[in-house]
Amino acid sequence: MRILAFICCLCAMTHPGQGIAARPDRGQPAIEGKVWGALIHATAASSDAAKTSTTAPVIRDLQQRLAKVFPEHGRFEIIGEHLQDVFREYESWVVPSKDIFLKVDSKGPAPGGGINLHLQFWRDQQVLVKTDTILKPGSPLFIGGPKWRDGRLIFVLVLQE
Amino acid sequence: MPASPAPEPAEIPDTELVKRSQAGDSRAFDLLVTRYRGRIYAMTYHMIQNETEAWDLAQEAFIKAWRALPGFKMDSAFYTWLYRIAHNGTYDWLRKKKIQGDGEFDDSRTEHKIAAGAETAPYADAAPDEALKNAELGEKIRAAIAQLSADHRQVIIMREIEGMAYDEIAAAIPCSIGTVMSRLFYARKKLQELLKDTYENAK
Amino acid sequence: MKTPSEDHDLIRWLDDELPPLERERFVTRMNADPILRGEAEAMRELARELRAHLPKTLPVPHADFFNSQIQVRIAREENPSRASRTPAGSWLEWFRLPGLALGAAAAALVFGATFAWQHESLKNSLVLTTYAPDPGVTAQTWFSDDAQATVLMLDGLEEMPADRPLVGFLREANAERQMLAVALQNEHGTPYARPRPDAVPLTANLGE
Repeated sequence: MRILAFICCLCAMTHPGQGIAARPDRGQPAIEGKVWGALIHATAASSDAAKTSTTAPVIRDLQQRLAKVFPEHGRFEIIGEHLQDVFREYESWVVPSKDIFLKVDSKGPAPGGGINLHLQFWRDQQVLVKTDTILKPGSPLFIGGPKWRDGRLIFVLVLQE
Repeated sequence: MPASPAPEPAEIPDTELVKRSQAGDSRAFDLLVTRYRGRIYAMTYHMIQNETEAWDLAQEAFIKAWRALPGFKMDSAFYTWLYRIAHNGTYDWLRKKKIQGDGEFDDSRTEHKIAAGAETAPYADAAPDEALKNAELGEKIRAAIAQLSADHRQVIIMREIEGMAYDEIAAAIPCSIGTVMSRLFYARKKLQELLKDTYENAK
Repeated sequence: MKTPSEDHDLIRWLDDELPPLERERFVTRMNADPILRGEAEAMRELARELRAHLPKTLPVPHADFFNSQIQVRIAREENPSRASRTPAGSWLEWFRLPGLALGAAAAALVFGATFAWQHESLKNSLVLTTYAPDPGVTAQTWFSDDAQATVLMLDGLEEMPADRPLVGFLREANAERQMLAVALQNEHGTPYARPRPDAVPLTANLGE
């Protein structure tokens, strides 16, 4: 129940225009860009399940690209996905799953395109890693996360073109 | 006669470190960070009760202080000035998050566990069961504080933890001394109510 | 019924903010009023407990890293052009900081930028710094030419319990949220939780 409440709180935070992070006197916060985040379960099993397209503009050949970085896995299933605006001055949360999610703070545009970001990779109430990252449009960031069941959880973050 | 040795960092007064920091000496500022990080972190932690966010807020306070140092005229103690910066940032964060007063306290936010014997000096030699009891009471107190509104929480922390006088609290918030007294009164009343069962069971 | 002024007197007495004469007057009144006295004693007890259980100072987790990150931020702000153009510049500055060796070891600090890399990575995402609060966790970062992706690999993380179902979301910015429990199956083929009938299936294989 408490975890659910926390997640609901996170959900509210991802919509600051409607929620608590908004400053009513200043309207909607400025948006630096849009990111797509997905939590993926990588397993060794061969890919024999029915193919289903995702709802978001996923980067091209994602499965093949994941397989090159995680060669011990042959099957990549999306557990959840989230298309989220990255706000200037306000934190944004990319929450494809209530269990594993990402806090995104914009540090402004990067020279030559993209956004300077401070990311925090969360599992439940715990920060697993903090990172300063320059995210370039269309250039994915794969975060190899914890093991789960017979595979591994991977977080994919892409700045939309 | 040999030259007197350089003073230990702990002996260098704040004013000296502030002057050096204002001249751009980031190592002097590092000493100020070391000197006050525990107190600033304690304040941010007590205010928001989340270790990660409190850590970030405390760090942000020092960064803001560094940026504002050129304008610091030393008309108050450095710590008082720093505390206000940290407090304003934390209060602003709380307001944005609206953690306060929105229902059930989520004690899973309380990641930071304090060792039972480390809570306070008088309990340092307490027997294990006594120490456990103290730790439990400490948790309950923190849980109760988390249920206060941001306005009430800040006055309680400023008064009870920092030991600030009413006029100092009023200047830090800022608000009138009458408001400080009212908030303190209602905050304590609310805490009494929240901790009523704890005290009754202890009797 | 008490007035706000009487409440304030009680508070001021408790916090030792009453001038001597007013204090004396309040004590006299308190001695004559057992209810007021009881209230005052209860508040004094509460104040004592609060002070005893809320330490004025707390140990800062990863204190060395706390300090060194501030120094890095300061260095970046002092010389933003160099910091933004040359990630390795700030990388070197870390090693001039006091106590870094210990902090770095404890914090599992990894920097992913290299000189050779940066010229080719103008279009690629770049991990500048990583910090894992758990010292048992290591973070490695690189750019995979094959995958055309930036990788941040975390090792030493605690495994997610196998019997824990993961709850996924299908969410778009500024759109209505949907939430569903993912129908991942256990070893007997039994779903841990069933998705809502109207939910979009998320356990999708990525298209090839």
